[in-house]
Order: sequence, then structure tokens, then C-alpha cells
Amino acid sequence: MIELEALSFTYIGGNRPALQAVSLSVAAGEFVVVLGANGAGKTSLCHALTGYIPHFYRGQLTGQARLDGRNTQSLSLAEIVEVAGQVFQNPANQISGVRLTVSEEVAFGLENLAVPAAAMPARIKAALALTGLSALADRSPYALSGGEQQRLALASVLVMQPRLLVLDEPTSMLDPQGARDILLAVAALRQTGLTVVLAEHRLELAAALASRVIVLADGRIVRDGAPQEVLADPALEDYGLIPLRYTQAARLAQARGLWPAQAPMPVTLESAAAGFRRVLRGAA
Amino acid sequence: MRIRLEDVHYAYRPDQPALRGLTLVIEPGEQVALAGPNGSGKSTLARCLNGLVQPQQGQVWVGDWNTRTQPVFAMAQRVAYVFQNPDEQLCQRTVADEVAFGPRQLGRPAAACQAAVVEALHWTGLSAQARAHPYDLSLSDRKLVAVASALAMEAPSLVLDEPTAGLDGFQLRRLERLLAEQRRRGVTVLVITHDLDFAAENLDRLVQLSAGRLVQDAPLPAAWIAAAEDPFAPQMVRLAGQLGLTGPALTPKTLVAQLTSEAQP
Amino acid sequence: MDSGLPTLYRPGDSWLHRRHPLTKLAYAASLAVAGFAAPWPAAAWFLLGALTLPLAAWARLARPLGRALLWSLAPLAAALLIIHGLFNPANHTILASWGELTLGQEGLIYALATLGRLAGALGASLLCLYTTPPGDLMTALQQRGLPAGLAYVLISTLQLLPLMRRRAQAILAAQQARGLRLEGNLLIRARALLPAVIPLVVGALLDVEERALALESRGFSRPGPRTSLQAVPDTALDRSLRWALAAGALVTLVWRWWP
Repeated sequence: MIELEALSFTYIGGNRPALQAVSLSVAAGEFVVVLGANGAGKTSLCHALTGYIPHFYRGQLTGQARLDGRNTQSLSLAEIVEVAGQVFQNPANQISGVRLTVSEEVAFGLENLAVPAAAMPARIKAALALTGLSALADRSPYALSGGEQQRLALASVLVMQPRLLVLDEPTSMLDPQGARDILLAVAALRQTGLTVVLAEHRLELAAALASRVIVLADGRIVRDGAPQEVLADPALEDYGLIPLRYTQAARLAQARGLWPAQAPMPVTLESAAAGFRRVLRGAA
Repeated sequence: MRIRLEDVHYAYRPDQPALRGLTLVIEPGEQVALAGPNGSGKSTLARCLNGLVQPQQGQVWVGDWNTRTQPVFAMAQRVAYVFQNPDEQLCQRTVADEVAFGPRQLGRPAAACQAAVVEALHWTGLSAQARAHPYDLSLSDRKLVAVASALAMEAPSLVLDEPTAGLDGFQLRRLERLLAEQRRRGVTVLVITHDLDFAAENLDRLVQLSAGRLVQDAPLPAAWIAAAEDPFAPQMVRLAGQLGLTGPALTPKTLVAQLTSEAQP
Repeated sequence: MDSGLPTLYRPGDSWLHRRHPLTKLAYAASLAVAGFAAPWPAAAWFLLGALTLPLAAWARLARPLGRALLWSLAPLAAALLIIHGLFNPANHTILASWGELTLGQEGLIYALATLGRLAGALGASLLCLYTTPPGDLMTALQQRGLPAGLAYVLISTLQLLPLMRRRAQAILAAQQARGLRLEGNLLIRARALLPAVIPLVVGALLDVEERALALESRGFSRPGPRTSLQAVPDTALDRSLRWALAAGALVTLVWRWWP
């Protein structure tokens, strides 16, 4: 689905590259979570996947980005948008401002794609159902909460039936309930074969959803693997990631000799609870 | 500086009550987490502290000043407020000037302003960006500029509205150290936050609102005992709940300490 | 949290609501032209009173329209009447005097005429916006060949003005909380200007960039024709009305320049 080959990019006026020799291959249907400190290149990577680099953001680009086998440099943004959609950080800035209701807002993308009017209602209904917004179909987009607006942004992109969905820190501006709502909506999409790339700071929810975790630092990929391995790595804190407390607790317990030296580090509540229960039983 | 809210009532519109009879006392030097779902009145409560919100009923005291008797710009002498969106305040050409804005408005002498700016930049890790244009920085760095700008005001109390949103691990650690320094200086701190892991590890007390009323006001860790089932509770609280631990466990360290004592009775 | 922002559009099913967006736009344009072009000073007032207000009443929008006009024009009206009434060089006929100050008839008439033209143009435009959903207006403009980008900028500005106002309030609150004084002598107010305006302008520019990204994500820059969820029907009546309005505007232009 995605092939990045030694992709490097420096924004115009930038004093260092935002992406350095990034090589990445993502198969269709994967759910990839991208982690990294602020400024490590998460947003730039998202832009490179959806063609905003180089079509919207100009700069020095070397290497290749291929979407579904086609080089993003030779496609137009309008062509890419039919295959890949992106959800951004700020819910309010994704509202078009020219539509009065949630349904009409969702229809906006279909109108731009010149989908026949007769086909629209069914697609809109499906997109609203996927994001739990069916009850809000006639509400003004500006009357929604931040979490609901973000789900509206998601619905507006899903209605266009992309095969790749990129989300760039979609929960940063949301309260925990809103964050949970949108990530669960995204999680439900995994069954559909959609390829998802999610850049996030909040590890706990993302960890539960990912089939693969990538860590960026200074524009380079420094870790790439299954959540179990990557998230349990103690070096993550040095890369500026917010540590999972479960893993920290297990590591501390390991240092005290309570947690078996060979046992894997937990990255979820369930695995932490299971592991610590064994610790308590073992000690009893 | 002691902060007192006495039976505060406020409604933005007659059918939209935001605070219903809120009474709260924050002792000098305490660091309090203010939590609750959206719409529970957290921002409204915080805005009572510097007079942006004037209660329709009840009193708000910051030290010996009643917020009804002071205009907002005067309350800034005692309450430094950091809003959620830094782009609502950044207006100077350099980060240093931006951080100096607050103390200058408060009439501090130039040398004192300068010193305060240097300190504030140090604690927020922005010393290298002093000459940069604020809008050239990333959003999370701009948030820290706003925090630095409030720190430089050197007010006896500090209010932070969702300071952790969007910050990475490095920046969170700076925030932690900054709060520890404020604690050392005896500054009263109120942090509106959804990040309960952060609150559990850094603050003293949890005040929880729901629909304009106070539903919990307790020192951390006692505050969490009943909340282990809550999916939004701090990670260690949930883990402690799963393991059936009875003692306070807010940080990995205290959890493991608990386990150690339980494993070796 | 957000109780929704006030939009200009007010839903309804009146005859006016059912007219094609371009017909209403043509109404606003021709009334503005006629009001400014007609050589008769009270022409614009006449059109406002004889056409716009009755139409508004028919659509049950007379009260909001009247209120909007009063609120937006009252300060300007006061300024115009005072300035021209007292200082217009064409003042010969004295109506009243207070020491050195004299109130002249010509100046007052000029002020009233100008006010009428502004009120006429504003009233007709507001009536158009009150009865037309922004999406329909955009669709109608695009169908007539207006580039999508331009149509978007025009229509979205209307929706975003209330957002700007709310943001301006938040900015003033934030700056006051940092000790900025807003009230006081002229110097104090002058000093408060930049800290109030800069975040507003820069914030708006930052938003524009983010919104442009999001619009791209919705296929906005895709070339070619667009479809529309809601059909915007154009009738023979609408076409005839547009011709009539254009003709009327043309007549006033001719009337003005007829030797």
C-alpha cells in the first residue's frame, strides 16, 4: 500500500531536514502507530504519505513515496485524495464553514468528487453510522463538542472511501472521552481492510489498537516492530515518548527481583495485571 | 496566597448554570488538580480567580482581595493565568519580549523583568529560543511560551488550563520540574487537567466537578480509592484496582512499594 | 460545550426562500446600483421601504432585518448626520444654530441620502443571506462558472465572522489576564491595540493554512464539475425576475446620466 524509499525532505526555509532517509513499507490492512517527540517528524511523515509533501509543502525532496505503487510526485493532490484521506489535530479547523448541518458537511467531499446526488444519502448514512454521529445528522457542525467535531472530520473523509487513512495526532485537543470515541471508531475500521497510520502521543489506547509501532527521532525511523517489543523498550523515554506506567512499574519490580527477569514487559492494563498477579502468587 | 470561593453561583445564560453553589478553599502553596467532564464548570471556576468571571452569587477571595473589587488587569498581580490556546495571546516579535509582556504590564522595573524572563525561559527550556519569533515555533513550544510568560509575572498564584495537552515526554518532564520549583517557592497552583496520570504524579489534591457542583475534593491519593473501575482513572490506580491493592498507588514507585510490602509481609 | 454559532441564514419556507440564490443576489446587486445611481436623494429609502421591508415582512424576517440594520448603522448614522449637518461645505440653508455651530439642510439631506444608500444595499444583501443557505449560494455561483475557490472564500467569510468575534473576546480576556489595561485614556487604549489585534490576525492566518489542508482532504481542488446533495432549482419565474431587476438597475443608470 505504502512504499517510502530513502525519503528525505527539508521544508523551504528549514535549517534541518524534517525527514531523513526514511524507508518504510506498509501492507494493506496494517494499523501502524507512529510515535515520536514533537518535531521528530510525525506530521511530516503523515504529509508525505498523503502527498501534501510535496504538493502543498514545497521543499527539497529526495527519494520516493509510492502510494499503491504510484509515485506521489507524479499524481496530483486531487488524485491522491481519492485513495488516501487525512484527519488533522484541530477539530474546528476541519469544518468547511459552508455547510449548515452535519449531513451536508459530510456530503461536501462527495460533491467535490462529483458523486451523483442519488448515491449520496446512502454513503452519508453509512459514514455517520461508522462514527456514531447518526443522531447528530441535522445539527450544526459548530454545535458539536470537540470530540464530535473530530468524528465529523473522520466521517467526512471516510465517506470518500479511501484505502489509506492517516490521522495526525487526532486526540491532542480532545478530552479523554472524545479521544476514546474517535480511536474506537478508527479501531472498528480495521475489519474493513482499511490501512491506517496514526500519529499519537497517548500510548495506552494506541498500543491496544496497533499491529505495528514506528518511532521517529530527528526525522529518522529508530524503531519499527510489534507493539509488544517496541513499547516495552526503555530507550523510548530518551526519544521523548511519554512512558506507559505499566511498563515502568514492571521494570521497577524487575529491578527489585519481583518480576521475572525473562518475562516480557507489559504494555496494556490486562497484561500488567496478569503479570503482577503472578508476582503476588509467586511470592505467596 | 490563600484562595477562597464561597458559595459561588454563575450562569452564562439563565438556562445554562455553570457553577452551582461552589465552595472551595485552596491553602497557600497547594498544587490542586481540577478535573471533570467537559461542561462541568472547570474553566468557569478558574476564571473566577482572576475576575474574568464575576459570580452572580457568592464571593471569591484571592488573599485579602475580593475579585468584585478589582479589575481583571489588577488581579493579574496575584493570579497568573495560562489559557489553553497560546495563539490567543502571542503578540510580540520575539519569545523574550513575549515572556516579558506580563511583567511589563504589571509595571515591574526593567531589570526585574529581564531577570524574570531569563528564569522563566530556563524553567520552560526555551532559553535557546529567546530571539525566535513565537509563531515560528511549534504549537507545543508556543504553549510553553505562554507558560513562561505567566511564570515571569511571578504572581503568588498560578492557574494552568490543560497545560499537558499535546506535550511530548521531554516537555512533560520540564513541566514537572517547573511545578516542583513553584512548589518550592510556595506558589499556589491550580491545574485544570484531563491527564490524571500527570495529576496523580505531580499534584497534591484533586477537586472534581460535575454539572457545576463539587463532587470530590480530596488529597491525592485518597481521592482515587473509589475510582479504580473508572476507565479514565490514572494507570496505576486501575492496575492497583485490578490487583486488589488497598493502599494508595498513584505512581509506579508507590505501586511497586505496595507490592513489595504485600509480597513480603 | 459549543452552543452553535449564529449564522445569517434563517430557515423558512416563504416565497423568498424558494427563489433561486442568484435571483436574490441579483436583487441585492440591482437595489444597490439603483440606490446609488438614482438622482433622487430619497430613492434608496423608497426602495428599502417599498420593496425590501415588505418582502422581509412577507418572509417573516422584518424584525430581525430591522434590528440588524439599526444595530449596524446607528453609530454611522449619528456620525454622518453630525458631520454633514454641521460641516458640509454645501450648507446654505440654516435650520438651527448654537453659537458658532450651524445645522445646514443640504448637509443633512446629503447625510440622509448616503445613509439610505448604505441601508438599502445592506438591507437587500442581508435579506438575500437570511433566506439562502450558504451551500446553495455556493452551488449556484459555481454552476454559473465562478471558481470554487472564490465562491468558498466569499461564503465561508460569512460563517467565520462570528468565530472571529468569539476569538477576539478570548484574546481580550487572555491579555487582560496578563495585566493589559483596556479602559482609560487614549494612550492606554492605543497601547492595547496591537496585543488585541495581532493574535487575531495571525490566528486567522494559521487557521487558513489548516483549513486549506482539510479542504484538500475533501477533494476541494479537484478540477471539473461538482454535484450537489441539494438540488437548487431555477425556475422561469426566477429568470424573469433577474431580467426585470437587471432592467430596473439599467433604467436608473440611464436616468442618472440622461442629459
